[in-house]
Amino acid sequence: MMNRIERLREKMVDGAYKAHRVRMSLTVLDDAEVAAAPHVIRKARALEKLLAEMPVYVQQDELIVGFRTLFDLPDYITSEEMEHRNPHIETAGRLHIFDYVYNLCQDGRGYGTANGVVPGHHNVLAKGFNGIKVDAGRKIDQLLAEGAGDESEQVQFLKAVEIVCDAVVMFAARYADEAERLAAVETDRQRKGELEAIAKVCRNVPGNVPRSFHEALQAVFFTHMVAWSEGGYLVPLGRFDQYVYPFYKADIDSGAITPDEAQELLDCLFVKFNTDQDKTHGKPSYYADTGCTMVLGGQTPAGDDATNDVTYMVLKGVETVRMADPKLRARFHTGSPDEYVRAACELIKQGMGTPSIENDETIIPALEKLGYRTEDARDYAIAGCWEIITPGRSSEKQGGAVKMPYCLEWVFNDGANFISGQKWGADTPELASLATFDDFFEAFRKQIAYYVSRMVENHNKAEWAPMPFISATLDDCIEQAKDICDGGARYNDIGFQLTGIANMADALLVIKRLVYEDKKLTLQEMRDILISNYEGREDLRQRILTKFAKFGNDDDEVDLLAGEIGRCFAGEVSRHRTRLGGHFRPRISTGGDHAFTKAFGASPDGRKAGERFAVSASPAPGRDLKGPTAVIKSVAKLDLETSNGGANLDMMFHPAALAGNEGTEKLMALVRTFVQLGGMQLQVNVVSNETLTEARKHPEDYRHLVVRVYGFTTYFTQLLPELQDHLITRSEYEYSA
Amino acid sequence: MVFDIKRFAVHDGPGIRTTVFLKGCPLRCIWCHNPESMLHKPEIAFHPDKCIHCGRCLEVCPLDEGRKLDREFCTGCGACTEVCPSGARVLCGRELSVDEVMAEVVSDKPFYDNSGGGVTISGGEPLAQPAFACEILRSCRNESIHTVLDTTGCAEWDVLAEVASQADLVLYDLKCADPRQHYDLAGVSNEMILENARRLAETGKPMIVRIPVIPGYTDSDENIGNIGKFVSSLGDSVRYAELLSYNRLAETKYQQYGYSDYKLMGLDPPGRTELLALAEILTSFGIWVCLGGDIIRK
Repeated sequence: MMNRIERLREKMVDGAYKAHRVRMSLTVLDDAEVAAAPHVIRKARALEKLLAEMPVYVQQDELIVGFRTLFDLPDYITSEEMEHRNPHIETAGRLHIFDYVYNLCQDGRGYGTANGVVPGHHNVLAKGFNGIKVDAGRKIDQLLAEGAGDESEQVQFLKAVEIVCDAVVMFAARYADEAERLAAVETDRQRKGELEAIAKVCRNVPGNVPRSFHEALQAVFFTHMVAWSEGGYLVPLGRFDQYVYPFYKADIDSGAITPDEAQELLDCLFVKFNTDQDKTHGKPSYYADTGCTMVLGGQTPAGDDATNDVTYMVLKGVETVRMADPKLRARFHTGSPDEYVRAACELIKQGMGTPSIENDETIIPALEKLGYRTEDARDYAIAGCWEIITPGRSSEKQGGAVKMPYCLEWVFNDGANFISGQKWGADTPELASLATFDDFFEAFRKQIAYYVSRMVENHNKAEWAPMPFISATLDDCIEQAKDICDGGARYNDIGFQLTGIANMADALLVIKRLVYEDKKLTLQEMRDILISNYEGREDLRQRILTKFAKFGNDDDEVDLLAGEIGRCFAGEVSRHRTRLGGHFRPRISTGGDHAFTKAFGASPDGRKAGERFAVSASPAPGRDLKGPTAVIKSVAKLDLETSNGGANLDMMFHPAALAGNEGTEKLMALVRTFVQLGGMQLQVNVVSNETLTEARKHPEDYRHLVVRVYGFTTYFTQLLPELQDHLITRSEYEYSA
Repeated sequence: MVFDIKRFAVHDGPGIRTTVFLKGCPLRCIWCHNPESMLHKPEIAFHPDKCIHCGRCLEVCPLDEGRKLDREFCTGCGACTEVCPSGARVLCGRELSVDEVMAEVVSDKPFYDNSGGGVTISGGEPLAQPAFACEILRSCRNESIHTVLDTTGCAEWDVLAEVASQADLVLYDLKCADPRQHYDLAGVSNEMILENARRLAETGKPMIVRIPVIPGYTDSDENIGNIGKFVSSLGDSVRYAELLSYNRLAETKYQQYGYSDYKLMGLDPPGRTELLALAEILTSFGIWVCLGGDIIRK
């Protein structure tokens, strides 16, 4: 017989709950008073109406409740506002180059909404929304006493906060009513008791401070789902093990709950996080892009080790539930306990791509250098895929990618793209005038500077929509009486990611060697070869691929070139400030940009037009041939503390390389050394047969996939096709034996 | 002469290691999974899938008229591998200095330190190049790197004793207990190998015995039982015995190095159940066994 979690999981996979989703055509503009109110009030009223109308649905077996059954906010944008929609067309994502301002989410008039802002769950759990409302009311009184007008932006924002606080309490009460109704007709005694308990929980949270672990988890889920409802996108969970632990400990200490019961509640919550995967842009799978990121372990704001019982329960829960969300990010520092490192590595070996690893030893100093308070730096969490932000104190925006391979094309082609011929880049000196490699690098740097400054310019023209609900949960918005869109958060940064660092390092080494040292080619000849996509020069291309050092092999010359490129990018990004006074933060991670390469011509590293770039801070596909230790050493040579937005290394292992307890210990040592050498973020993928099948089809992308069986070591793609099939069909355990 | 240096070697002793493979071996095991390790001379590997048919290899070959790769006459000068643009021809076997080897192996010291790993010297048969092997192991020890010798034990005792004295641990291969069968399968008898194992164990040197499980050749209950009996007589020097499952991955290499007569082509590896049964035979002799990265208690 299936247990509760298995049944819930089945239902989630089966998706029958989606039948409860409805569409309604709602508006708050039919109320003349609301229609005349400021935008932030209208938005708060819209959220209130949504939460009042959204059908409630409690599923059989659930202990944590809440479904988003209604998705679109009621109309709250006036026709006048629609006419004056975001006037900055260049920020609207049409060109897909400098204008990647709104990333993924906009409201009806083209204003950006919060994306990857970690709600202040710690505040919701400490005060409840009723407590937050009291704070807002006090602040209103203070402002009025100081002479602010009732119509002032500050007061209007705080009134919006009061509205959304009441709205979410009302929403929870509707769930309490529903649970009571179901309890009254329930014939199964056990389920009746559960429904009565759910009713009590929803009657108390998230309005009040939770009285139990169960209430804390329910408060987290309501906050999470309403943050999405408000128009938030890729809503992360922050340091879950830190903020729910006190409630767990209190219940365990008092004997109110057993560890098994607590684990079941946690697992129920985790299944719940997978509800709306079809409502984001990724495909629903382990890799669906939901931004449902949860951070574990690391250090406390005081600098102590933060690992606790809930940390381990989360690792266990994710293994039990085996669904895409939550996506775990395990923070490690040199003092992380072995037991924690082991538990995380055991989960990595399950092949779900989770948890990834965040290195406190590099990230905290990077944030401090950026000017973050030490306690905030130590309290960092992860949003989106890899974005490093402080939970409840940051309104970070994702600024899109600087696709560096364009910059190299522009140096060669007087600012124009190889493929389209469009001139997107800056004017650049005649190739013949670039007499030294330093001249060449300087021309490259100028294109990067131009690219970054164009993006900054558009960002600083961008319009942002108010988010009163998520603002209400943050540390500073109420005290400052400002929505996050106006800079109410403590940190208001924008991250730019760098695409293609490894390819650029490999390419610059080729230019340095062939053009400037050996003088085998002129820059003009190189340009012609690239534009012709190595037509008739396959021998040269092969020579470049096989005989030149590549980033990721612990070769100092090319690794330090990569470091130079990273520093150059970081320097150009860091020199600018956002409209709200925040920093632009450089990040070496590519999102999906490494794969969208149709618009790119050939590059001097032997890459043909249209081929993929390296992922994030990883080596270019198939070019790291000395194994994982060499890759880690190469990446650690990048000056990562300047890359204060993050820098992610992706690694791939066949299960046989990490088999058994011995394999776990080796993975632990690998991770420990990554932390010690100063890597930043590490994603370890233990490959499935599915991946091996892909590798069989696209060997060029998987040349670095190592298959190791005892003394015999080889690269998967170098095996005879028949043997590749053989490996795919054998179960991993047999191969590790 | 070295044919490969592999970083992140995870199956050649404790922790994360770098394995230095020396070229040349006195044995000719029919299942050898590193056929390029047998001959003590440079060889050319040919990867037909990578060849772009540019013909440069033929232009530079110093042999008359430049022939297609003819292993009978090839001296392994490597001229063709130098000009090959695509890596279809690769030179296997280089004369490296101890310093050159050390430059590569010290790179991963932090990984050794965090994992209890180090450097393994393997082959081929490292005892076939004793002075070089000793020098590498000694240099590693000077750098405080843990050292492992991976050997077939097929050498004069003095040679083994000298090289093993520089190793913190010896991985000692035992393939067949019966001398006749050993001769048939590995090309040499095992008397010296067994005798050396006995003498090495007497010195107290920590050892791990490694037994290749080749279906139809070494996997009989009798053979494993006899090996178990022998190993149990070696006493506490042997930390545990490890069963190495046959795998088919070497089939590719036999083609790349021009061997057309690999007898085990298509042979399926043993299953998990069979391996567990063999492990049980060994544990019945009071030996600890390692299988798939897990230690099975005696």
